[in-house]
Amino acid sequence: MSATTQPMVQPPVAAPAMAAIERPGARVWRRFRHHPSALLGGTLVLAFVIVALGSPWLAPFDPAANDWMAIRQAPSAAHWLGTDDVGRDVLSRLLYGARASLYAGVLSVVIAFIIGVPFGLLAGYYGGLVDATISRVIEALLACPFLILAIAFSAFLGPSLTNAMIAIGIAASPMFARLTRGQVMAVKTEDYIEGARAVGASDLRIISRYILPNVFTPLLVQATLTIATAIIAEASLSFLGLGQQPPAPSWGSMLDTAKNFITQAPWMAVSPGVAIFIVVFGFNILGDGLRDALDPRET
Amino acid sequence: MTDRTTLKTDPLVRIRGISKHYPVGRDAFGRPSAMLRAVNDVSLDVRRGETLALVGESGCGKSTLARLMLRLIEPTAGRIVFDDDDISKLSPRKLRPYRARMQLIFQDPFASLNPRMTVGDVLDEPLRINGWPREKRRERVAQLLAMVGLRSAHAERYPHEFSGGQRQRIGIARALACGPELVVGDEPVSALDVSVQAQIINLLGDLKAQLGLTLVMIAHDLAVVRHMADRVGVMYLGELVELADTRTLFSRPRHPYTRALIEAVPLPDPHVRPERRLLEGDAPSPLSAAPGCKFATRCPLARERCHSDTPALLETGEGVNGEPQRVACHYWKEADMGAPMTTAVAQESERYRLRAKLFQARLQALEEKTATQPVA
Repeated sequence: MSATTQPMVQPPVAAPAMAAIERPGARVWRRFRHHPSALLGGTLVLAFVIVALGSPWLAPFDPAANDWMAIRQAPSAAHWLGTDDVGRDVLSRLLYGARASLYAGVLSVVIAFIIGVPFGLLAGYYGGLVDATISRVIEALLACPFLILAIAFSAFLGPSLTNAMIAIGIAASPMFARLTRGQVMAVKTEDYIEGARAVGASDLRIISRYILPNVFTPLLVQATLTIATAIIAEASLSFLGLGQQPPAPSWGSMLDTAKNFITQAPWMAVSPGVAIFIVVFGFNILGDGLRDALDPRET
Repeated sequence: MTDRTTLKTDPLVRIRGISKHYPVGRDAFGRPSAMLRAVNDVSLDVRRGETLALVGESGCGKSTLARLMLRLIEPTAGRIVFDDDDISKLSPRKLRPYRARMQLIFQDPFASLNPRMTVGDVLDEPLRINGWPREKRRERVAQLLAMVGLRSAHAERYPHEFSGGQRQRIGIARALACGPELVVGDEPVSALDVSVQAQIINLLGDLKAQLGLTLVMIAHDLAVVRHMADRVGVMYLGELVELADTRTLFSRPRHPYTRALIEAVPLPDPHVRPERRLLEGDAPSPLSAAPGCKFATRCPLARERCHSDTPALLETGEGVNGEPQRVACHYWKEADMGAPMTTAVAQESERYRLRAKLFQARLQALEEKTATQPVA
C-alpha cells in the first residue's frame, strides 16, 4: 500500500499458518473421539440401531410364535433369556422390540422437530404478536407433563404404534419450539444477520441460510436427548396398552405382561427393563458428548 | 461503476428531519410509558465522493443514524432521499435495488460474518441476491478478494480461520461486492489493533479513490477522523450539534461540546500539560423530552435561555473553500475561542503531509475530470 501508487490489487496480507487450522467438522470429530462417554454412548446407540434393523436375522425364534410346551421357562441354552407366559422366546421379542423403540424414538423426534422448529423460528424471528401467540400455546402445552400429554393424544388418536409415535411427537414439539425460539432470538441480533439484510436478503433466505445453520447444534443435542425420552414414553404407552399392539413385541408391552409374573418369572421383566435402561443411557451420554464436541467455544 | 458519482453535483443522500424513537416499558394497557429518543430531528446531506465523519460519545445516536440512512431500521419520522429517490417508505422488495448501492461495514469483525459460511459464500451472497450469473460471480469473488488484499484461495476458508484485520477486509469486500456508491462504516477500525487500524484505514482510503465511493464514517477516534474525513458532524444525545469541514472543526470548534471533545484527546507529549476544562454534570436521560439545549446540563456557558429554547443548527460562518460551519448553540460566539489546546500543539507528521499532498492531487485530478465531462 504505497502512498505514491494506486494498485488496483492490494498485496496479499501474510496469513497465519492456515494449513494447521482444522475444518469445523474435523474438529468436532476429533473432540468426539477423545470424549470417552460420548464414544460409549455412540457405541451403545450404534449397537441398538444394528440390533433393531437386524432383528429378523438375529432373532433365534419367531417373536410371536407361542409354544405351549415351554411356558415361563427360565433362561436356558435354547432360550437364552427364557420364555414368557405363552411360551414366546424373550430374546427374540427383545430384539424385535428394539425396532418399535427405534421407530418410536427416532420418528417421534422427527415429528417433534418438524412441528416445533418452524414455529420456534417464526416466533423468534418475527417477535411481537406472532411470538406472543406461539409462545402462549407453547407455554400451555409445556404446562402439562410430557407423558400425560402423550397419553392424552394417544388415547385420542387410538391405540397403535404409529399413533403413539405421533402423540409423542406432538407432545415433544413445544420443547423444540421453545428451544428454537430462544436460540433464534440470540442469533438474530448478530451483526451478520443485519449484514444479510443490508445486502437485500429476504426473510426466508435469512432464516434458512443464516439463522437455521447457527441454531442447529443445540437442536441436534436436544433431539438426541429427546430420543431417550421418547423411547421411555413409547414403553410407557405400550405398558398402558396405547402403543404397540399384541402380539407384536415392544419393550413396554413386554413389561406390561411381565408385571403379572414378577415373582414367578422375573426374567420376563428384567431383560426389557435392562434394555430400556441401556439404550436410554446410551442416547443421554451421546447427547451430552455431542454438546461438548459441538460447542465452538472450547478447543 | 467508477465514475458515476463524480458526474452529478447534488448530494447523494439527503436526510430531512429524521427521528428514531424507541418505546421503553409498557403500562398496564400495553402503551409505552416513555420514548427513548435515539435520533431526534436530524437533517444532513451526504455529498457525492466525500468522506463524512460522525463523531460523538457512546449512545449519542451515531450508529442509529447510520442505520436509518441505510434503512436497516425504520425511522419514526423524517425522510431519506437517496440519489433523488425517497427510500424512507419503500417496501423491502422495492428497496432491494438500492441495497446494492449502499452498504455497511461493521464494527466487530468477529460478529459480522456468518460462521457457517465460507468466505466465498459470504461474498457470493450479495451477488446472488442481485441476480448475477454464476460464472460472473466466481470471477467477481476472486476480484473482490484481490481488491482487499486477500488471495482467491481464501474463498474456501471459514471466517474463524482469519485474524480480526483479515475479517474486516472480508467485511469490506462484502460491502463492495455489488459496486455500491455509498459505504457506511460503523466504527470499522475501533475493534482492531492499532497497527491493523492503519492498514484498514489506508485500504478504505485507496478503495474510495479507486471506486469513487462516498464514505460515511462513524468514529470514536478523533485522530482517525482528522486523517480521513472531509467533513465532520458532531452528535450529542441524538442531535447534530455541529457540522463543518474537518480543518475548520478542529481549528475553530464553535460548539462547546465539540471543543470539549477535541480537548479531551490526550497529547502524546509528556511535557505538555494542557489545562483541560473537563465537563461536569451528567447528560440528561435520553428519555426526557424537556425543551432547551440537551447539552445545557454540562455546558460551561449555559444560561437560562439554554434550558428553555432549543437551539437550531444554524450557519455561523465559512470554513475552508466556503464550506459553511453549522452550529446548534445560542452562544457559539463565546465558545469560539480559537484553536483548542490539543489541536494547536499537534504536529503534522511527514507522513500526514505526504498523504495530504496526495489527497489534494487526487482531488484536483477528479475536478479536472468533472470539468471535461458534461454534467448529466
